[in-house]
Amino acid sequence: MAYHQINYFLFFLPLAALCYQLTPGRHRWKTLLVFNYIFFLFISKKLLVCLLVSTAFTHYVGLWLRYMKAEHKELLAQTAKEERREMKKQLKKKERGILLFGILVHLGMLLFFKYTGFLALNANFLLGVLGVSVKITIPAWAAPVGISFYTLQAVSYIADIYLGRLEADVNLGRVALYMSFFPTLMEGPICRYADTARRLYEGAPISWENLTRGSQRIIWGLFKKLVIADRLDILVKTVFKGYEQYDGAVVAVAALCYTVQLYAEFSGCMDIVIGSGEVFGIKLPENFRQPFFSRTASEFWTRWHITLGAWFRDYIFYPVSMSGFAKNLNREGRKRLGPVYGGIPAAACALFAVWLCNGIWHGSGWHYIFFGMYYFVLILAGNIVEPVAKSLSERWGINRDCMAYGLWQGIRTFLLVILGELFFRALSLRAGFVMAGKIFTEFSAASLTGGVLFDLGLDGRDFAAAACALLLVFVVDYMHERGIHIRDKVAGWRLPLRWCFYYGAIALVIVFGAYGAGYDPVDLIYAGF
Amino acid sequence: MFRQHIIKAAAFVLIGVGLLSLAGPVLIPKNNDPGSGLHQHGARAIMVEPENSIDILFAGDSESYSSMSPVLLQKKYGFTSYVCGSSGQRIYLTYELLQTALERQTPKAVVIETNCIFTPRGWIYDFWQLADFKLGKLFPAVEYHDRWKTLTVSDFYTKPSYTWINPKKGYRKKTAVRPYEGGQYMVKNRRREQIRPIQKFYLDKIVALCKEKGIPIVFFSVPSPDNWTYEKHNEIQRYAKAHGCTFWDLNLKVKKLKIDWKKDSYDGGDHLNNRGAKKVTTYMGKRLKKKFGL
Repeated sequence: MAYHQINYFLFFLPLAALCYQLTPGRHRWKTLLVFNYIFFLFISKKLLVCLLVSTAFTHYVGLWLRYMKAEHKELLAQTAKEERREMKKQLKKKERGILLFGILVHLGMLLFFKYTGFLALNANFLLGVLGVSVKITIPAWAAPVGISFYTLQAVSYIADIYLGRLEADVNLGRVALYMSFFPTLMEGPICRYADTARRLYEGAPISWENLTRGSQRIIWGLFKKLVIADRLDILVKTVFKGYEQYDGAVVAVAALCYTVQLYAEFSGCMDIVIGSGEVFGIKLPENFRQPFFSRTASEFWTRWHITLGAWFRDYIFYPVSMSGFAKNLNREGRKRLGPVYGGIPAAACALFAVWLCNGIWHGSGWHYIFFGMYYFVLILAGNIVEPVAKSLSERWGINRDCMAYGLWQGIRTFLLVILGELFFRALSLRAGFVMAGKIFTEFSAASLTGGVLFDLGLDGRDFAAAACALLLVFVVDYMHERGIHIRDKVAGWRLPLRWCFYYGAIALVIVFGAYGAGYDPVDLIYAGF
Repeated sequence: MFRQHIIKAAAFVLIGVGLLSLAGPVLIPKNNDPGSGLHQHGARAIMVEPENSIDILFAGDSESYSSMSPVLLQKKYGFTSYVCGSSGQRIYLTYELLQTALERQTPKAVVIETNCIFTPRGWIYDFWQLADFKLGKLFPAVEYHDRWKTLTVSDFYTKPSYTWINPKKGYRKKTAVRPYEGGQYMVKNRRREQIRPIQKFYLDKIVALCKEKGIPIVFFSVPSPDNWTYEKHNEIQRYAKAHGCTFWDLNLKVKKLKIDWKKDSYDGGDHLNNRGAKKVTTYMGKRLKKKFGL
């Protein structure tokens, strides 16, 4: 089962909503929890145990921290004023120990399920280089669905308790709901306990408005996923699998198509997820905000997979930036490099940690790590160049706020994103380099006009359908960027016109969707991360 | 307010269902030739065969259409046959195809290749697959949505008229060779791989349909190391016995059939190629002729 499949939006979701609504208010959370686990069972079967263990452990660590904090508060109150500082330090160390224990157990599970194969493969390579004939058997086990997402949620819960932002919840049911809400299980968004847990537990009845608005958003998500993403997948799969036989122009088209596919797929899935949440009256955090309107790589990541970026900012960037090492480096840097560039070495350390984790989080492969490092270099370079660019543009009288400059920045960022996604999708790091090399050394525009594109699984009508759908997505994104919300506008229309609009949208998905006979089902990309 | 919302929702769904039903006749292919877009066009061409002209009706998934050649059967043994086989055919589709075929044909036997009775995933997956199938049947606009690519003005007012006669009568010839390199795959044991509930339900329906029409059923298993096991053999053996059907497992006759796994498969032991198909067709022809006096 997946969010874009009929079994989800025509059977599972309506059934879950119906049962939820029919359950008396104070028991609704139980119904929701049962459906969360049924959803998990459908996909990962007995690996449900992992989620249950993770939930129980998160709850336990949270309570441990809570009691420890209460105990420490009492101890501090009894301690003489002059000894309080030293005592506070010691007690904080204890709390940090619990936090680290909680994080390590969660990361250990993630490492075990997602990276054992990768680590074994690299260990074998190293052993081979060292001339050791021993080979480690490469395990091939399935990871529980959404482990990358619920692990981050669990860590944020524990860390927020440690940091005093959150009070540990004594109610295991609430923690279980937070960890397993079925619309967010496969692809996020990565929620924060304070934002969703209480609302999930409240069991508010489903309102007509929530039901209709949620359904509208689901249809929009299905449109992006089925009409654009799954159609382009045919071409993307063909070229990335057999990249050696295509020239740079075809590879460039495939990289462009993949970028579009990933956006349509992930943002479309988020629309379905957020729409599903809306049905239950849960406002889930947005994960996309028109990323292709970004002017810089740094801005791009504040608009693309927003909740992941925010997680890394709050739990990696800030802690590293605020560490003693970074503070010293900052002080030293300002002394030696001056106020403009002095902060860059310390920021670079924090950025490096963030982008290394970002790369690793996405998957077990060197190309993912490269992907992270690619953005590290881009963002760091942006930070270094920015002051120079600013002073040069002032000197040369270039208006950086004008539309033309913005357009140039937007196109430049878009091209850089495409290049990054090429490595992200490549079968391996080597394949990524070969493909990127082809774009710069074997680019022949003739192959685009010679009909090669039509041998990649898509015909002219497919391209036309994808292009029209993409244009529609662009228009909608542009309107959102300007603060115009179509759902609100349509809600104001008279009923016949409004219904015609809805039927039209559903018809577009049914007729132009790339599903059924002749199409291979396309798994959700981020569900694999 | 609540009542008003219920009425509104029901009206929205009803109008939507109506519109979807109206789109069906437009999108459904108007002919059955290979370029028409009709799903399982090879199997469905049975509808164009002259009435009561088929002696033996084969059905099943790709194992059936890659191993049984009706043209060869007629040439060698003089009886007519047709293969209602299609890729990845599930037993409920087999049932539907047989229902359609038996409206105009009264064969001496229905011969079902057994691989379509077993599916590789669990019952949950079977259930969703069946739901998908039923939805497609209920709303042809969903099943044939992709026909927008070849839609013409005439699609809006013409009715389907199937005229294409399948010259190979359902057989699909494959000449490529990719050897099977594994060893013995039929290891005798007493275990059974149970037929799952949905499959059992439709298998029972097929048996009932044929019984009602007085047509005997023969289950047969084409040699396929990739798909077949002794556990499946035991299960079909048991089912056939319980329902008074015949079961011929050709996986146990590989030696007798002189199947050479180095040359007789086109995909490494999943399906037979034309060379293997000739051996299986000849063997089956002989047995069918003898059993049903064709």
